[in-house]
Amino acid sequence: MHLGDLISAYLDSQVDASERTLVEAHLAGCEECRSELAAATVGRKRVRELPLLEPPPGALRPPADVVPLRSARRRSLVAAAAMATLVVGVGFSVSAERAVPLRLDAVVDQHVARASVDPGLNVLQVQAVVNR
Amino acid sequence: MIFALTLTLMTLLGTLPAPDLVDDLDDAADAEFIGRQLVVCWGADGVVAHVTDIEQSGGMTMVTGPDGSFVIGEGKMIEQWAGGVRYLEMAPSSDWRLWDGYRVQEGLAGVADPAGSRAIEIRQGEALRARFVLDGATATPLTTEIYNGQGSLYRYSTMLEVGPRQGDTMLDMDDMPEPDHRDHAVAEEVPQAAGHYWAADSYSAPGGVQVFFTDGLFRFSIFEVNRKSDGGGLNDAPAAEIGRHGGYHRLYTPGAVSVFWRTADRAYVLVGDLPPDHLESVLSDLPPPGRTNVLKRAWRWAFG
Repeated sequence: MHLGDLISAYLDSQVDASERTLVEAHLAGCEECRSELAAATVGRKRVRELPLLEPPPGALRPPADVVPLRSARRRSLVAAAAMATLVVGVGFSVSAERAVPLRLDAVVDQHVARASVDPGLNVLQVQAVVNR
Repeated sequence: MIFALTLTLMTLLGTLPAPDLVDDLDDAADAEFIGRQLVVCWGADGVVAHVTDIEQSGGMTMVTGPDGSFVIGEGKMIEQWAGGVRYLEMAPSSDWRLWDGYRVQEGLAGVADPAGSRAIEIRQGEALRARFVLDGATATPLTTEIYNGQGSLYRYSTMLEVGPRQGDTMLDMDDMPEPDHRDHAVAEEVPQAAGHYWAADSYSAPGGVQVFFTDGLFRFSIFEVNRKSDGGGLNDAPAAEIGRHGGYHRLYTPGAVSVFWRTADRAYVLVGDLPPDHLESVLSDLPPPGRTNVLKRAWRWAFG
């Protein structure tokens, strides 16, 4: 007996605690189901990695019936915005260290590069780099 | 040469593992093979698995998976894709040794070795921690089992296919660009020991410092970075309570666990292959998640 549809449910966290225990116990001893699980996981990951499509130009045009602000109120808002920009600008200029963007794949790469120096059983050490 | 040196050092330190393990490590590093490997990990958020193609030659290992191909070994990490090559190289590192809390023994208790292979068990106290089934000729690990502290399986990997490798070297290093070199550096807040792991080396890293910890069997790195970092997107990973603290974000992949958290002053990313009970023990010795006070938060909200 194999897991069949339970593999999909398991990946979607749609199984209860007893089913989860059953699935995990079966996976530990069934190479065929482990392969199927691995294939399903890879397939889902690839779907998740599909690029997001940009909407065509004009599709997100604002509604035509937006009421414009009255000019006096607009002038006040512009003045307030200018003041806020000035304050924020000063704040940025005195703010301390800035964050350098961190990439998880770069972090994993660097960890695995160091781990690869240790002797033997390299196959175990390099697995972290996949599915970063 | 390296192993002779390591063996001498371990003897002096009195932490000599079983001689067969040293031989096995040596043989496994030199083995040349191609294979396909399945890795399954039972993380706290569910099971994750992948299948990868592996090619090992000359001390370097090429892993091909859904994210592309990588060549790793001897402190180098080379990633090739259509747009070019990324080449990372680490500064020289300390010698390897096995934590003396592990006990290495030949064979699986009560089970005969499978034909053409040998088995090794590693126990932490009386608890089973790892099992390896190695190819009898090359010591290539055919199956590995890593157990958590409660005795249940945490990670399982097995070679679905394995065979001898033939042909030229995988990479022509003459064609490589200049490596992105990582020098030694000092972390400000990371201790030199966590759990039973010790900090082996520290390196510069993008936006911070990497501290590499090991116990000889498992290994992890702590990246200490600016508090404003998002941990490379890990702050979107599932929130987790680990040990006595919430405030962590944890992501399991088949080969590693990654954890991100912020303290009052800094942010940390942990990446490694350690089992869950070790992870909890390690995190309890590291700066815990925390918040800055109200005034600091208001300043950061206003000015970044």
